[in-house]
Amino acid sequence: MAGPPKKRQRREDKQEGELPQKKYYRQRAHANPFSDHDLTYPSSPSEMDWSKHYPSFIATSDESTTTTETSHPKTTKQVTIADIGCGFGGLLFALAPRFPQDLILGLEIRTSVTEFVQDKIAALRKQAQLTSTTDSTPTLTNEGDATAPPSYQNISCLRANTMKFLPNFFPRSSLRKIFLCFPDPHFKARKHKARIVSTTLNSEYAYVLRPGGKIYTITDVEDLHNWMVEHLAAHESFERVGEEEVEGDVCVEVMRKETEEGKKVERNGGRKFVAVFRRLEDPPWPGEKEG
Amino acid sequence: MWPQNFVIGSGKQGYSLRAPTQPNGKDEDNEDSGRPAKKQKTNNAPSKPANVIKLAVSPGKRHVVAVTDDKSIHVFEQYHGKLTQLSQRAMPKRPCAIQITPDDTTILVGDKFGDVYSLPLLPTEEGDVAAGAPKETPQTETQFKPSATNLTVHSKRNRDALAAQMQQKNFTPRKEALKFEHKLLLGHVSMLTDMKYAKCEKDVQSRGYIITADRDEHIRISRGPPQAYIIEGFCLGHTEFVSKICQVGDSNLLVSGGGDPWLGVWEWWPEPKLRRKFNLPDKTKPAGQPLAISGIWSGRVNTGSGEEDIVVIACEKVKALLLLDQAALEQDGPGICVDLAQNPIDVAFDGDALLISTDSRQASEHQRLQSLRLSKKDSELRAEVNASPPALKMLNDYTSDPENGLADKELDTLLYGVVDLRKRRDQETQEAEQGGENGAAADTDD
Ligand SMILES: C[S@@+](CC[C@H](N)C(=O)[O-])C[C@H]1O[C@@H](n2cnc3c(N)ncnc32)[C@H](O)[C@@H]1O
Repeated sequence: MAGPPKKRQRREDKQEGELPQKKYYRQRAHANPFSDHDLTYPSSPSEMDWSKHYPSFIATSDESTTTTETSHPKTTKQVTIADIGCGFGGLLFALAPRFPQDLILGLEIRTSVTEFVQDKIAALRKQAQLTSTTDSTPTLTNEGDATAPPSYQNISCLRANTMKFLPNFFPRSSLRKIFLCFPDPHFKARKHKARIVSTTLNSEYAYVLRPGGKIYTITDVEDLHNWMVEHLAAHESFERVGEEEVEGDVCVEVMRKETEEGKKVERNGGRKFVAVFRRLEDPPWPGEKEG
Repeated sequence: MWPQNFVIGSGKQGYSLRAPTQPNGKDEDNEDSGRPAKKQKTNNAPSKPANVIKLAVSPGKRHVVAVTDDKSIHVFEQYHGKLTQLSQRAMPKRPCAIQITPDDTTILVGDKFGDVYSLPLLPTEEGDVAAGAPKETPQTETQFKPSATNLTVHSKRNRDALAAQMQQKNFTPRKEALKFEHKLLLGHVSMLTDMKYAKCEKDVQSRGYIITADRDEHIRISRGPPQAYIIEGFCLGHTEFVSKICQVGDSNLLVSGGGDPWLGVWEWWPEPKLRRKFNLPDKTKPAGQPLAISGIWSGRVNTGSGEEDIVVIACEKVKALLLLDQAALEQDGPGICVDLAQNPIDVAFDGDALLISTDSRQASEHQRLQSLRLSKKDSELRAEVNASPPALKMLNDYTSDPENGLADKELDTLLYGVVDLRKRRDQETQEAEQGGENGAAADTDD
């Protein structure tokens, strides 16, 4: 859905590499996760063309990661970190330099918010290219060199309703981290099925996460925190990560400080509740032995 | 009027249930808001019996389970063709698929809202009391919500989690808290359309799976209970809703169909893989309305040249059936199309014949049920009209009570709802114009 013409015009009135402004991308705060939005999504993960999202990671024909009959270019890496309901993308921009080896994807249901993140990524990539004096290769990535200035080639964002279409994007066990930062609380009991964490939905997170992978949750709403903890703990594929490990995790720090919501809560002096869960190995089938 | 569902018991002891005949249940208020589909509320006046919308027979043939459109699940005991109702349980949402597990102990129920529950076929008092049946104080009823009863009793970790939850203040009261023994096994956020329990032999062990389909083009393969929280894979490739799925015999083939002009033939096990897209022949496509697969059935038939699994497919409001044999499922065989005089409503395998119930409004009373004999000649599948077997004649001669009959329109909603699953791709534009259900609250600050 395109924004109103005026806003759209203003968005386009900027220099190459100039960062987009949020005020031209605002949208009503909630989208109904149950309705049939005019979404585009691949019918299966193998149909997904990641090359548009991560053009620096396009594989030459002999290093393709997948061998399917599909026609789009392949990438050398798979997406391994997902930020679900990424909003204006603060977390993505902070994660980009910290996990240069990972492809990181933000998923957001609101069209113009998604467009903001996409435009900002494009601008940051452009800036990085313009300032990279040492190497003139336009598709420079900082792969393997964590101290290089971020190129933002490893982050992207797309519009999706993750409550319905996560398995369309990600194959089984492909992710190592999922972030659920400041999800919409849906306070009313009859809206609880709209919550991004539920025992049944957790099975889908478990499906796309690899064993040992983690789900990170943060919220300023204590009830929602309790709800997420309760429902993840009740799911046999997850175990809660201990406090020491949580506090030592760089992702937790980033999540607290770099998400837009995290910053808002900070300004208002609010509390932030964090919980991290680890994806366990699937148990053997009933009556069958391990391995 | 003829029921939209019917089942055949073993061998000669065939029987049928007709709708509407079931005891009336309470029509509990449901909260359908926020869902895309049109409400199909049948506001039953107190005197009007509920309609049977699903029927299943237990593998041991002793029990019949009927779902009525007041969201109730009725269990009957079958003895020499006589049915006695043993229990009636009201589900929170309208069931859209039921099956009894092969061990004859458990009913699996999928509902429109995407959830799959398990209930004991024969409820026990202890189980029901534990679930908050009337012996308990009303307060615990609301605390013990389905999402918390789920999957929780197998490990210490989960018991602790549940205990913690029970102590918590009750911030999620649920009007529809079920007061009988049940477990929430799995759920889709999308509207569930079909569900099948399937078995598969792995070495000497046999593994049970739950296969579910939804309006958002997914076919999901989960482990069977008690590990239904583990998703093993998806059969993905449909680009329109999936309305029906069917395991071919006890093989690793699954046939799926819905709004796409093709059927998916999948190897759903061990790794989900599309084996064939079977393009629907024009004869099976409707003329006046969009395509919607309304039924897929599979049965083992002796065709005269050995036993073979045959798959039968019906499209909504198309007066024909498509029949697929092994050659069509496993190689590139064309299958055959059989013309009918009326729309097929349901199909059952009866020995080597197909029993077909049709929309009797379209023809003389005597053709409500029809039988087709299946055979093979020169390895080609054939279906010939079976001159009315005696049992069929008896059923066809049965006239329904006009008092209990439904108006044409009501019956249409009951019989031909699949096409409504098709998405209206322009919905978002409308929603944006109306400000959506959550109002037009914009981001405040950033
Ligand atoms: C309160 S914001 C938090 C944004 C960001 N994670 C942060 O911490 O600043 C929640 C976001 O989740 C998005 N969202 C809600 N439901 C979603 C769904 N089903 N799929 C994708 N995004 C969703 C909303 O549009 C909103 O932008």
